[in-house]
Amino acid sequence: MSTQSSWPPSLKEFVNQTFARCNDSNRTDVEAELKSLIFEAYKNGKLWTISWSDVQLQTLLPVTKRKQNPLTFTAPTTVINVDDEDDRRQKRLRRFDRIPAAAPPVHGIHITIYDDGDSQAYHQVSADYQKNIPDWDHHTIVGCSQQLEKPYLRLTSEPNPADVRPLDVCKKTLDHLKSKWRAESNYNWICDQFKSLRQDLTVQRIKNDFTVKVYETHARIALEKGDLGEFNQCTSQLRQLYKLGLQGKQEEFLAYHILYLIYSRNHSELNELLSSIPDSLKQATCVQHALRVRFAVSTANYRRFFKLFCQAPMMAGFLMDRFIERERIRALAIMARGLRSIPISYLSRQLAFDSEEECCEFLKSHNAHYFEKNSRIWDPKPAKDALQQAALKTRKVDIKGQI
Amino acid sequence: MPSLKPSKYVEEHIAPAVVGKFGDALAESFSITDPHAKYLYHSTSTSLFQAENQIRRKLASLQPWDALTVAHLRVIHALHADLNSSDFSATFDAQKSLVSTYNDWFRSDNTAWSLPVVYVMYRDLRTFATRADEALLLKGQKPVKLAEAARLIQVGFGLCGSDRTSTGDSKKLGVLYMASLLFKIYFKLKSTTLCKNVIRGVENAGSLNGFQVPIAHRVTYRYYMGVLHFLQEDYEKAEDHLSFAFTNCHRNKHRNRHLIMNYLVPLRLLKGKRPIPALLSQFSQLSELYQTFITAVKLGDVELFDRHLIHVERQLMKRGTYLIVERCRQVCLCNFVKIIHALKARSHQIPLNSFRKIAYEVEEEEGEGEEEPEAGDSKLEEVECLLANLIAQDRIRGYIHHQAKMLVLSKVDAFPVQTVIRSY
Repeated sequence: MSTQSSWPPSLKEFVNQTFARCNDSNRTDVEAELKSLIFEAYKNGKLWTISWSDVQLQTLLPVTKRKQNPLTFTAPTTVINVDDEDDRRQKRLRRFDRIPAAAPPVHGIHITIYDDGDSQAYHQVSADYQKNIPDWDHHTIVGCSQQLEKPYLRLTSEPNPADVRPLDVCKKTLDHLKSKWRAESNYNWICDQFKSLRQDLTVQRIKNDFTVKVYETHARIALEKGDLGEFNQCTSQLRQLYKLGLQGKQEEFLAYHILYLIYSRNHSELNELLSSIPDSLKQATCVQHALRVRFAVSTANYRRFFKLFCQAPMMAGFLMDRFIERERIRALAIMARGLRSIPISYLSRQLAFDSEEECCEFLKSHNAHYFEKNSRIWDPKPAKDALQQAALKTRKVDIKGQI
Repeated sequence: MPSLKPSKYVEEHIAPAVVGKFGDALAESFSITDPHAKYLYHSTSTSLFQAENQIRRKLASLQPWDALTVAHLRVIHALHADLNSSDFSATFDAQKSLVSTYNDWFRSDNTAWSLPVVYVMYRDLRTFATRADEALLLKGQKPVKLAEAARLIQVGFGLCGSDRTSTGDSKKLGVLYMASLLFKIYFKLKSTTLCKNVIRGVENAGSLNGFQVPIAHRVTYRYYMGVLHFLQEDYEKAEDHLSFAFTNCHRNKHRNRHLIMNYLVPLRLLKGKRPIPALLSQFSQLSELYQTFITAVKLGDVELFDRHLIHVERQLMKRGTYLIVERCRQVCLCNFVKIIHALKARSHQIPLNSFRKIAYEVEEEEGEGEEEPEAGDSKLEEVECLLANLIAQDRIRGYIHHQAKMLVLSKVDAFPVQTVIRSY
């Protein structure tokens, strides 16, 4: 049973495209019309039936027959006369007063579709939508910091716009972090910076293709350095973002998800995932590879597993590194029961060791280092019990700190 | 349309059942699916307030059944309103109120006579929660009613399990029914880890062997236990539970038998046991799914097995049985080895070359021998790997002599009967 999204995918796509097409000058009008449209659709129960890709917003139509008079000013948007809202506006203005005049605020995209976790119930429905729909802008801030680098600090109070970077600065930050990572490879520092960058996007409620790129980049770096906790955080967010219809490397991260579930021995979730993979994603090379790894592990086919390990696309090898030792032990336990007269060179090649010496070291560390009469032929008989014990131990997976 | 006046409902249904402690009769009076609900609504649709007062007066001496009956009437009215608006939250809330009021009384009652009322109240609670969640999803909101229902059912479950009465008239009789109700919800919510708490609660309730627990409750509970063990790949316990469930399931409950057999067929196939054709043919969907596998296994035809696995992949995944069927491939391989063994006049030493067919997927790697002198025959390596697994699983007794490229079979019982499924 697939989970039903809280918003139709076509609506999410429509909203994302709308914001991609508008600019600072007409964003306010576009937002107002968009909210009105969505509210009307909701009230009439047509949220899921409207063909959103065919909808055309009036405020996005090109202006014709009306030249822009530089001396004309647009009338300010009507302010809703609600005392509580007035107070909030005053507070926001007071915060902005602290901003130096030399750094005027830069507006980022700050309206988004709420995901499942953010769903809000419409307890009252009335003709005047503007008074009853939650004001999506109200609790979202627009940052104005121009800093490229910023250490991560867990928020303990309302974020200060002066400390938050707007979208265009975030984009520069990402490029900056990438080049720094290539140059310095300081993981602790880069992780701190990425968490800070992600936080700036979160408090501004920015969810777009750029957000996807940030999480994908952080996930790859975390994976490379073996930080599975951070990797999991990023990939969980990515799965939510892909559900919104945002563009990204969905096939790549689906493959990583499969491999991670193999590593964590999460059979029920893996079965569920397998039954919900769309055919379009299944054709991707990296997904095919991950599915073959799953089959090899499921059937204890060590020959295939280690061949696939040697052919791992993209960063799949980093994930497979996490369970290659356990698969080697398992393979040795099977070989010990079923094979005789095995040259160490064969063993080394089958289990994808870099050298026979490395293979011997592995055998020693698992009390399986026995050979026949001064030869390079592995003697599995005395090794059998130790390997079976080792194989049993690998059935328990320690994933503390990764959830 | 027949109608049932509140006074008649109370005097002829509620009061006698309460006074006489007829649990089954009273359960009918509180069940939303019983015809009385429609008739009662019809007679009170324009005067709910008046009907409530009437009920309270007539049941004043049978508290808390006055409040319970009023609460039930409110559920009936809320349901009727919700059927028009396709939103069941109000009905769910009304049923929740009924159940909460009932729990307060049930807590102090130390006999089992009203358990049938417990069953229908909680059953309806779950039904309304399911429909309310469906409505919430359609509105783009988060479905939360089932989880809420589970918390309330947990209370009832606790009340049943904690009854210290040691006679047959104990609320413990309701433990398995409540446990299964929770299982249904947790399965639906995909929170099977929460089932552990339920199992612990059943175990803490102590042995139920001396109690007259209805067989239907035992069957349902054992079914869910079987599925849980199945998901954890504990196939021995899964088969034990599911076999009990199937053996004791009422022969006319075809859908339930189908649900049980869905898991039992692949579990037994994994041991090389084929279902009796007459039995399998009772379940046409399973028959369609598995007949080809059974044929492939019997013939040792790995290619046929693999082709059919690809063909029915989606169906098996939806049923949650793809992974175990995939493992049945081992049985197929093992039977192929048996056939070759027979063809070789039961020789105990068979060249690995004889088994190349099982490595049909592996492509011949030509020209690689020159660049890498030690590179072996990929097909033969695959054969060796597959056979090593069969030996490690005790499906075959013997060993492979790698350098001689031979399978050496044990002279005694080379293909033992599978009683335990090993896994590595």
